[in-house]
Amino acid sequence: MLQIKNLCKTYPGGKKAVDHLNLKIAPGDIYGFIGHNGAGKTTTIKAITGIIDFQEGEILVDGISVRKDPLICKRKIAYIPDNPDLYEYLTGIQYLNFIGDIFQVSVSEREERIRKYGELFELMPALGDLISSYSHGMKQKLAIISALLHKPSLMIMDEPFVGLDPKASVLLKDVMRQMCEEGTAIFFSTHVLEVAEKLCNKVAIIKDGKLVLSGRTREVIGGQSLESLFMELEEK
Amino acid sequence: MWREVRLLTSVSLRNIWGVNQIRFSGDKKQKRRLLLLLVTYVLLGVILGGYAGGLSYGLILLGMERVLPSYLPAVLSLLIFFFTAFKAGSILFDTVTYEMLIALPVRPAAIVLSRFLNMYVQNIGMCLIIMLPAASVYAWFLKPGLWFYFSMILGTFLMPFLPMTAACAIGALATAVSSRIKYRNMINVVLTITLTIGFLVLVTAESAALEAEGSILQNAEMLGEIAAMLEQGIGSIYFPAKWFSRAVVDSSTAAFAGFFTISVVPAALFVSLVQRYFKKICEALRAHKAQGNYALQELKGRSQLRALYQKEVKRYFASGIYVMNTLIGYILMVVLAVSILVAGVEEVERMLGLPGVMSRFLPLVLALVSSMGSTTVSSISMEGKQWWLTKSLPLTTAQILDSKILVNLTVALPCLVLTDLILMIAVKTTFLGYVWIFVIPFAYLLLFSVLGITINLKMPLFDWESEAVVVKQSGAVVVSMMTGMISTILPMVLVLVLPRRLTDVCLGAVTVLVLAVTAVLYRKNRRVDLRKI
Repeated sequence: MLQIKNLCKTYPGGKKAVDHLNLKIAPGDIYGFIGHNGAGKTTTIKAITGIIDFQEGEILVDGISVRKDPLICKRKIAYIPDNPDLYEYLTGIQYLNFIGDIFQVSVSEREERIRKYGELFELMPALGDLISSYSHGMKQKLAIISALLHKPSLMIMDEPFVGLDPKASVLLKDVMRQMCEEGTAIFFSTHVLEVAEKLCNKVAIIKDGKLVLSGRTREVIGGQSLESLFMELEEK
Repeated sequence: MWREVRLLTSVSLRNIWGVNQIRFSGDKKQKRRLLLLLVTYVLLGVILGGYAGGLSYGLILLGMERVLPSYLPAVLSLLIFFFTAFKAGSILFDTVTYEMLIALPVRPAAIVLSRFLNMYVQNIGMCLIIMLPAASVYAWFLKPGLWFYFSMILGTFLMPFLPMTAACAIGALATAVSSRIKYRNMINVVLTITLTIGFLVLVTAESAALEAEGSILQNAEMLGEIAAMLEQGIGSIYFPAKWFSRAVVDSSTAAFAGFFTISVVPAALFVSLVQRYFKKICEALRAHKAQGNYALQELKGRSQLRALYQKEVKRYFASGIYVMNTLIGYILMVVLAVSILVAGVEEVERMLGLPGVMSRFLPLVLALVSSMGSTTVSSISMEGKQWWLTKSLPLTTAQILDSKILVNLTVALPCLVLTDLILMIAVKTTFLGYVWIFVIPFAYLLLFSVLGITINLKMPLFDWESEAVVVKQSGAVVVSMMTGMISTILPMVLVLVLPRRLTDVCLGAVTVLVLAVTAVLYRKNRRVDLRKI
């Protein structure tokens, strides 16, 4: 579903954020992306979602190049950023309807999904209020609902659990598992290693822009915990 | 407290025009943009300074040098008032940085004062650019004593205080009144624009009366009397200018003391008054009315462009300072047309001190005014921290940019059409004259809708805390204003230089050129890869 081939990204000023990164995410995978602050996780995610350009390599979504056909790729992707800076001058429902229009989701489908996920994440009563009045967690929930609106085949999330209350975190994990069963590929970055260990069937560890380890979670961590493996790699 | 003020002011000034970000980002492209911006400012400074120096020289030649120390401060004060009134409320009561600052051990008075000083620093630049060349020419020819230098330099630094205080008072009043109202942005916009235009109309009417008297004397070729009369007249409209003039020309310490007092005391009183209500106003502005009782109703599907356009319209009207600083150009255009209808072209020319300009260049004057109000030049920067969201959506560059252009046309077209219709009744001209009144401002409107996007794509600014930084201080806005002036004044010069029988040909050629440039830029903008922005 997602293939990253030799991805390189250097920022103006010369900082190499991602250095020849290779990853392959199949439908039904829940793929955890782990690394220290500034390791290159968000840069990789932004390159996949077509937010930033990259100098070398290729990113394919369902076999289609993000660089050549970004529009087709974006239609298949849903992205939840680490900081949900949404259009604050819209109300929650206006925002969801806007996303529905942009992804050309039929009115009946969008109503059904807004009802389903709005009630699940207990955001329904607040949908008539301006997003600027939302707390960080509420904005995060709204970003999640909007991401689920067009039934993406690839879900990209950057630190999705930050700001969510414990109940919403559990619900999100359930939704992720359900999506995975339906064949959606999920790729997300996280610092919560316990979550990655329990939730992901595959993980990748990135350090200073370079891929250090990747593969099936059980095989990667072996007999130890993901936390001790990560610390071991960081100290090298 | 002064330490707090100094720290806060230096932090807020550090990012004017995005200098700090450009300095530390190491991005060569951004550094080139900063250089371009600096060149533009230097060019603007040279033009303004050259104008002031030339004016000074001209008045000295005519033996009217007494007018200078009252005329320039009066004009500068009016400019400072006008440019400050539309941003004062947003800068003084900027709620984005308020929360961060109020959590620090900083007094509200220090925050208010630092924000006031932030505006002062920007205004003093304009004062120095105009006053220094004018004063230098004056000193070179008239060889005044030491007191002249002392009073001129200190007086120039005091000059922005009074007009700034008046503008800030309007901004603060409008913000305070609207802070507890549901549609606070719109109420704030309406109040500020009404108060500012009301004030300007009052001043212009007074100056028209003065000009009328001046022209009678001019016929009598009594230049000395004109000078005295103008000096007195300016003094009667804006009395601090008279005090400044007496302090500088007659070495009057009493007049200087008066100018010092009238500059500093109202500003100090204003700051002490505002700091008392600062927290209350900011908290009222931050208060969000959340109902929390929404029930899903039937939704309506729209096309992508329509959805984008409606989102852009909401974004535009959500920002008071954005609306004020763009809409004012178009409103002034309507005010100009109504003034011509009521008073006639010659009277309006006399009121504005631009004899012969309106009757000959009316379409280009309208084009100049319309070029000043383009919403598109800030539209990309205004996306701010939400730019990622727009870029991540499955939309083409053309769709995103078209929606922004449509907003500008939505705001401008009703004003432009209304202006044109009024002028059809108010102005007597040839058939082609009417055609130019319609076509030229419209062509420039299209040009600046598209050029605004081009400039903003070249000079975007996303990491801002206050919308005022984008709308009032960003490089894109300055470059767009400069381009607006150059692209309309050049055809005016051309019309002036060429024989009258070629005026229509010249205006036709300008229209074709403007439309051709618009088409080229429009095609170019559509091909921009937004991932690189």
